[in-house]
Amino acid sequence: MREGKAAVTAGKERLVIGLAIIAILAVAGLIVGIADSVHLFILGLNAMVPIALAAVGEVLTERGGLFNIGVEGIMLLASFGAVYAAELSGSWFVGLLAGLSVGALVSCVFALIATYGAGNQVVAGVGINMLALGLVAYFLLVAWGSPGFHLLSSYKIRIPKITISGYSVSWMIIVTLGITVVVHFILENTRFGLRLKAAGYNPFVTDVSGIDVYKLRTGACVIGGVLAGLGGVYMSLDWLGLSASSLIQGRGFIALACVVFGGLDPILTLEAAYLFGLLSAVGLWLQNIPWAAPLMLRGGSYLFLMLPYLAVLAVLVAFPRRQQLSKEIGMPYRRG
Amino acid sequence: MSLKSFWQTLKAAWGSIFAILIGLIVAMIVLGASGYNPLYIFRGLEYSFFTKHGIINALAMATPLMLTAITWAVGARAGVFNVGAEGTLMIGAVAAIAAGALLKLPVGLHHLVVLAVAVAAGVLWTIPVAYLKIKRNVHEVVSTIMLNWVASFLVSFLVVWPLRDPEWPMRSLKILPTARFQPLVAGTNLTSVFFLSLAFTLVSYVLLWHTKTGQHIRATGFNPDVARNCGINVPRSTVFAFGIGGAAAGLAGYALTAGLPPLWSISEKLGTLVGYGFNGICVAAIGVNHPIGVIFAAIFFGGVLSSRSYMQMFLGVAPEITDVIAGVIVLILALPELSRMFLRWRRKKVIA
Repeated sequence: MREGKAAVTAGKERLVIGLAIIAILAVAGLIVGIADSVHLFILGLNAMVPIALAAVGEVLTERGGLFNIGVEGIMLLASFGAVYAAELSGSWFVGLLAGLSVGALVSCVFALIATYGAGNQVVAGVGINMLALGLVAYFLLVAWGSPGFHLLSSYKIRIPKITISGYSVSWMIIVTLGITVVVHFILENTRFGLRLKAAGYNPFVTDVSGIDVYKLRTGACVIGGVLAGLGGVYMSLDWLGLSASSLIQGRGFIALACVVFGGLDPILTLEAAYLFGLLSAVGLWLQNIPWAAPLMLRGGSYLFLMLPYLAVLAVLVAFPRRQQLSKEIGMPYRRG
Repeated sequence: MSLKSFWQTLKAAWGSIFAILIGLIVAMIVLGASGYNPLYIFRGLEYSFFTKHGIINALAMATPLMLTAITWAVGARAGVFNVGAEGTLMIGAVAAIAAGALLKLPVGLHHLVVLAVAVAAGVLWTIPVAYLKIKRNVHEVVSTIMLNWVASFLVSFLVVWPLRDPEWPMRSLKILPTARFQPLVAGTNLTSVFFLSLAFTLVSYVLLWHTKTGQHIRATGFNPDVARNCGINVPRSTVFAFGIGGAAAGLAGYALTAGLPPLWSISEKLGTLVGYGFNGICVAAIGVNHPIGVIFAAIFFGGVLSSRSYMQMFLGVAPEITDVIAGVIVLILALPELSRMFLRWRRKKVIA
């Protein structure tokens, strides 16, 4: 009964967000014309990918009952690891694999602390974020002697793009959409997904039924970490083509907000990620329009940069979560 | 102090010492892996703790750290994770600049007004977080991080336009001499704001441990359900915890502007403000979220931060190595069991 109700609400909210996205694009289309509007649509997709990957991964993690605040740090470490490996080997594919392994490794450390160690998940996540910031800034300086950022040295190690009807887009966009559908399928239709949701919803009962809660949670968290790592790799090797200590700029936390907003539903989370991606694209695009010029001379770019973060806060205020899905999320589970 | 409580203090301190040791070991590994002498880290700490200039610098660094640590510690005692010190500090700083540079008041009164404005700005910036948490069920980590980004861009904007120094681009106006704190020792950063932040920390101790409100706050953090059943107004405790945290962070912003010679201003890139909020979390974790522990932890970690410039200038080590130390310490302290497991393992080995 409750499950059915939740499904109906999710359906309604999917529609609302979808309509909001269409409305923004339509308004943009009216103001700047169809061609620019399509361009904006693609910019939004580009900005969506890292947020969506991290958010969908976090959906999986949170369904299992862990609350991984360290996604921001995982993305940052993966983005750096990918660039470093790609520069060493001269191949973007090696970089991609390195980034994914970094994501898996760091999230595995987090999962072990959170499950077997029964540690404080928020503190551990904050620790991962601080560690990532320090390590990346330090090794950027050591590896390339550049304080703050490093541009990719050649185009060969950038992930190649594909062309769809005249527009050059990243194939990671398609991968992201695919992964979201797969995660949705796994959660709804497989034994692993069902057990995972049980482990997140009520670990005590799940444990008594002979399912290893710790293993399940660790597994889900590692998959989530790999997805967050993929988001980081996309940012450094594909989208921006650089590694920087300030590369992620809170996208990991925007992803967490998407998960909150999406109510642990992958499709709704993806839509929220697109909404925020689109808004950050609008923020960048507004900087270039003529009437903003006098403002830009006076530091107005900072005001536009605030836009996605304010949008997150506004959406969270406008669409409150009535109840948490489970009180167990983020709480350590101790056996016995 | 009874023997039992002494033991408990020592046990709590053991966890922190263990985490610091692991942090230093990891930093040594990182230094070694990147081709430096791992012992450089101790050369830096030697400067911070065994030279006069280093000690003064460490105390100057400890001034804001203590306050941002209180932001996290009071939150943690109330069961909330307030990572908003970074942004709230910036808001406090820019409020202090605005009041300190634009108002013209006599010495003393001006100090008080600037202080009040900075603290009020910090509190006002934090209250929405409590609202979002209580009324909208938004996790405070998400909302505070969003507000941190908004704060950093907003403050940069204010520095570039309304509060810019016409004679020095990219910098804000300076706080007028009537609201400045002069250095205690000529040529250093240490001002009497240090005693102000020490006083605030002690007041927060008294507030949390020796008043009814404080007891309610701690009960809320211990177990909100039990607290509610005991008749404690849980939302009120949460708001109070955020409010005290906001005040502390606003005061830290004040300390980093009115109490930071020789410029008494902030730059567009916020170089003098960045990092204190998150390092404050590390300090609070070392100080086991207890104001008295925080004071010692802040002085220790102030030493770590003051070794940054020394290591960069004389040893050529990237200063970000201290962020690695901080991250490892927080990560280890997320798992309080670890230090105890280590002790148990040692004991077993001795018996065997």
